Amino acid sequence: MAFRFLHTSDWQMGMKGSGLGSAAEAVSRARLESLDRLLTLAEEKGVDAVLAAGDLFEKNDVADEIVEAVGAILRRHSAIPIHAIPGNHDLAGPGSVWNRNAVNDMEHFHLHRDFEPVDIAEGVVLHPCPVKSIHGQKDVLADIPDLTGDPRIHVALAHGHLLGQIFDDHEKGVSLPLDPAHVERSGLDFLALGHWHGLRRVAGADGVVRIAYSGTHEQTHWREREAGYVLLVDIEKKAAPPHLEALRTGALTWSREAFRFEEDRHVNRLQELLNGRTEDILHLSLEGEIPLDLEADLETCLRNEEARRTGLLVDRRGLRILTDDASLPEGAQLDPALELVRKRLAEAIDAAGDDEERHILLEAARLYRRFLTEEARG
Amino acid sequence: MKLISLELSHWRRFRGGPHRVTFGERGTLVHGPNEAGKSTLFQALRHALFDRPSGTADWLKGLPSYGSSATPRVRLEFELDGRHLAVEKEFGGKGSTTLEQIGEGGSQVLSEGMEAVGQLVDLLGAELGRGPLKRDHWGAFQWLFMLQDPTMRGIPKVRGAALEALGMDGAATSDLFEQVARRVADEINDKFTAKRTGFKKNSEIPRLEEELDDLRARREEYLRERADLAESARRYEEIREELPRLKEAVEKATEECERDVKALGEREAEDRDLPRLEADLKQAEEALRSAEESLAARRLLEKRIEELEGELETARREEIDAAAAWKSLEAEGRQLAEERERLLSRSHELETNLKDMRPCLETCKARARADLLTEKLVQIAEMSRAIEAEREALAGPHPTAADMERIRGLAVKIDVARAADPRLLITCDDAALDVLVDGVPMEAGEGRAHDEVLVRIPGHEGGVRIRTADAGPALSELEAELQRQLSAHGAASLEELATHLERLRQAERRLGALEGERKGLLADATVTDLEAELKRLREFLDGREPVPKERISELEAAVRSAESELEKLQARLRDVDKRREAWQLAETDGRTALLEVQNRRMSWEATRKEAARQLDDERDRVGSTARLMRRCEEERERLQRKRKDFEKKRDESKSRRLAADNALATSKRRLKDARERLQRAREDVASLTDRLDRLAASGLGTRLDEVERRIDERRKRLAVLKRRAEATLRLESVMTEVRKETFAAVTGPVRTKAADFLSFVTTGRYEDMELGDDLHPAALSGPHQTLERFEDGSEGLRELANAMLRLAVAVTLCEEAPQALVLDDPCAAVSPARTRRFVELLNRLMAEHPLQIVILTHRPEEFDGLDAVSVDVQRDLVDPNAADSREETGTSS
Repeated sequence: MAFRFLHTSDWQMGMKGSGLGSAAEAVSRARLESLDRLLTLAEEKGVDAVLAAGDLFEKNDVADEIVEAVGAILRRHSAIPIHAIPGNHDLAGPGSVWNRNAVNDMEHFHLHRDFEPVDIAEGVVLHPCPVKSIHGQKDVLADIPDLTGDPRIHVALAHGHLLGQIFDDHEKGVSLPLDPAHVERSGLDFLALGHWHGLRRVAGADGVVRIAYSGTHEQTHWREREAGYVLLVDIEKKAAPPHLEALRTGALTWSREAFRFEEDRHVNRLQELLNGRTEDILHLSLEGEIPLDLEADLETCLRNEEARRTGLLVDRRGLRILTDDASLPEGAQLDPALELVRKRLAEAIDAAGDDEERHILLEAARLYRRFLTEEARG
Repeated sequence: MKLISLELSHWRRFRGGPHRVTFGERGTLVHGPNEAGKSTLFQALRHALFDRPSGTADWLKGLPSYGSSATPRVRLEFELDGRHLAVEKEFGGKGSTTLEQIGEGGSQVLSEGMEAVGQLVDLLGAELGRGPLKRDHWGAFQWLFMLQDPTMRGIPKVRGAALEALGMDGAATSDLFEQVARRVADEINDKFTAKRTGFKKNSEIPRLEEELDDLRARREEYLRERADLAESARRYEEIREELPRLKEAVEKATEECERDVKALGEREAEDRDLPRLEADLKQAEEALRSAEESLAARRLLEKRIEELEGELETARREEIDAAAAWKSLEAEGRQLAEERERLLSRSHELETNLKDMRPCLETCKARARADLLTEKLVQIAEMSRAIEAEREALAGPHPTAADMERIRGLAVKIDVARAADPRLLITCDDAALDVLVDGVPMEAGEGRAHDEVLVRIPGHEGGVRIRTADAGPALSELEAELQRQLSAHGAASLEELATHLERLRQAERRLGALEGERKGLLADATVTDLEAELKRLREFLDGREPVPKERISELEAAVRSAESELEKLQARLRDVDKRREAWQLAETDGRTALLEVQNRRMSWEATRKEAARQLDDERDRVGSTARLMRRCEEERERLQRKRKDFEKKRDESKSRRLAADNALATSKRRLKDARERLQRAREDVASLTDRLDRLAASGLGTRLDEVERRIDERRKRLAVLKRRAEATLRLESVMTEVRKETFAAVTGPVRTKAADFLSFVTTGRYEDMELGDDLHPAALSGPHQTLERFEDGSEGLRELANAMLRLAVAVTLCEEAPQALVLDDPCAAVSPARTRRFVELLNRLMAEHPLQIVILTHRPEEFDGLDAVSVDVQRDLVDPNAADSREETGTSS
């Protein structure tokens, strides 16, 4: 009666990644590739089923090509049954992404739109708890009856916030609440959860982990921790402690770096730092001050770096461009009027009341410098 | 530089010469009326200083005096950098130039020709001339020499070398600065409109903004669509949540309804006595109605019997009348039958007679016809024979009408020939000759010939035959021909032939008459037909008793008489038959009427008997009418009481029933409403499901993603472009500011002086003057300290500002060396008061600075008080060889 399955959730197919800049498209593409990898892994591990705990799509009006791509991958791996529930991002019902042909009529793929328990393997009952409303305040686990007398393995599949355990800061006014106490009350053997993108295991009072978030199969943001995994779960028999193993499915590596300019007159030190980082997607925070005449070199360095990686997001908010000590190009130094212009611009930048004003004046200083350089060269 | 003297010879209106002007140490007022030559003097001065004397340019050709071949010449003496110099130029052709330095020991030629020209402009800080209409090569003299020519009168707008000449080269920004400024201006011009109030329509920013607006509008549309989707989904959820409540409401309403139905049943049970009561009442009412009906029936019967008695009497009278009418009809019928019999008898008799007479008449007619036919056939046979005889007589050849015509023509020709005059007049005086005239020998003497004259010697056959050339056939020939024709028809003469022809015609006419007659006899029949008819008649008559023909008329009359009478009899018989038919109808009607009347009478009698019987029965059954009435009244009162009780109970029951009904109706209505709401909700769910699926399938997400991506892309690009555009404006602003500051730092003293001078002349009305970077007045501070554009000032003010600026430049330059300021008519549009202030200013400046002022004017009185030598162009231009003019003219002050 042993039951082995892969627990996954939050594929978020079709996410825009608007905060990822040029990396957005690569991240979107990687999600599909990782799904293929996930299902291949399921076949390799010989699981009885794949349980997907909601938010498999980013939204219900996701583009057709994404839905079709997902459908094509699911159809390629039809040997293992997949049981899924709608999450808050992909609610079932009219207009749902789940109504589209591309993800329908697959014998091995079961989207559970209702709370009806279903036998998914011999001696194994699945209690699907689909999200019915994004503002739902009802704990859907409360309706699971007492199963302690039932000799079969009972696994619940839900999507929401697990109260009082690991997300204290989200408890106030939270929707989709899930009380972990129901697991012990009802005698569930495992509660497979979705909603949070990082991998989380939640141990009960007896120290046994019967509740887990698998997290997303491919990381979506820098702030996510332990994302890009799937959980391989083995349950020997009714009431036996489940065995959990995290398997890597994510392809992209993510990193955050900060760099401060300390009276640097060139970008060598920054370049060295970047050369030492191999992650696919890098978030770089620049701080400190650089003279205006170094800015062009910095931009060149960053452009090269962006071309080298899947994604590079640069936060320049902490970087200050200095125009005071910038030198005029050769040939322009003899004219005091030209120097006076540079000085006036530098003074205006220092006195700028807001960022936009400063950016405009900085742009004026860049423009002045460019024209001056080009004209002085003849 | 200070001017000492100017000599010119053969120079335009200054013929001969040399004519000399000697300038005053400080001021010189050159005056004279218009066209006196003041400006010509100034022209000579500038050519002497700046222009090449050689060449073939038009302006050179215009220098010599009109009609003079002498070379125009100018000589100018001046002081420069402490040296007394003289330049002398001859203009035209190769020209000549001599630059001399004059000292106490005499003059020394410094250079000649083009070298002298070049050396002079170098000394002056100018450049070689570029033509008489340009002054930008004059250096500082652009400000020091003010010409009257409108194109060169204004303040020069030149920079660079001019500023250098003025010693103000520090006021100009570098070329690199200007190149950068131009790049900035180009960048701005590419993006902004001329007034820089907005972006150019064809630049990228408005295009992006327009695209962005479109995209945002589209996004709004998509968002509305998505909001609609969300609203539909929300509504769907609401309805879905409401559905169980609605179902519950239906169930509740159903329960209420069932409860009310039960209550109504209970009410109905309470009312079950009502039908019994109602039945009793109905029964009683029925009895009363029955009694009343009986009474009414008895009254009706009695009345009916009375009516029937009357009807019966009437029927009896009608029966008697009908019987009398019937008897009369019977008599009439008999008369008609008798008359008919009589008529029929007579008719029969007549018909028998006719039957006997008609065969006799036919036989008689047949015999008469047979006789007629026999006679006609005999006549026809005779006629046929006569016709045959005529035809035989007409047989054989006979002249035709054409033959007769021809023969008659010949005869006519012969007659004409004979009747005509002889054509030849013959005179024969030799009787020895035989003369035949028209074939007839002519005796000696005269004769006339018609056709031919033959003269021959007797015995000779031949001779002279004379005929007219146009004569027709000879009379003899015609006659011969006539004879031949007559012979051919067996006639000896024309008359005989005509008689023959007449006979023929008569025979033909007879033949025609005979044939007509025979035709009349045949009367469209043939002889065969007549013979056949005759044969038939003879067969008919064969064996019949012969009847004399003479009886035909008698028989015909008898038959006609009998037929006529028979016809009349038949007419009368028809009349009698008609009358009999009418009588038979009347007889039938009369009989029917009689029967009807009899039936009616019998019916009335039966009815009366039945009514009488019924009345007797009724009387037996009910008793007397009074008793019946009483009983009916009693029954009525009892029933009315019973009815009141019943109605009271019924009203109470109805009220209870109504309440129960209302309760049930309310329950049913609620149930219906609940069911309708449920149905509507289900329909809404179906509709929303369909709508949501349709909206979701419309690719809204894809479209929204795409439009947001494009908005983001354009927004970022727009922000960059706008920031850059704004940055360009800022840069230009900073550069303009720096340029102004640089300029103002150097030109400040000039500006200050010019402003002071202007303030002095305008008595403080205009206190400041803002200069452009070309040393040109840009603005004047007007009344109330407000700046006015220089171009907006009056002509007088602009003229004054022009002079003040030049004066300021001159005074500034005086700090280095003495300067001469030449102003041609500087106050043409300036008021006399300000001109006086101007003169006052000039006097002061000439006193304070090594400044020489030369003013040319045609209104010298306005410059009274100017500390200057007065030169009257018309009067004072003198030969240099004469006494020193300066001594002669003195000052005007």
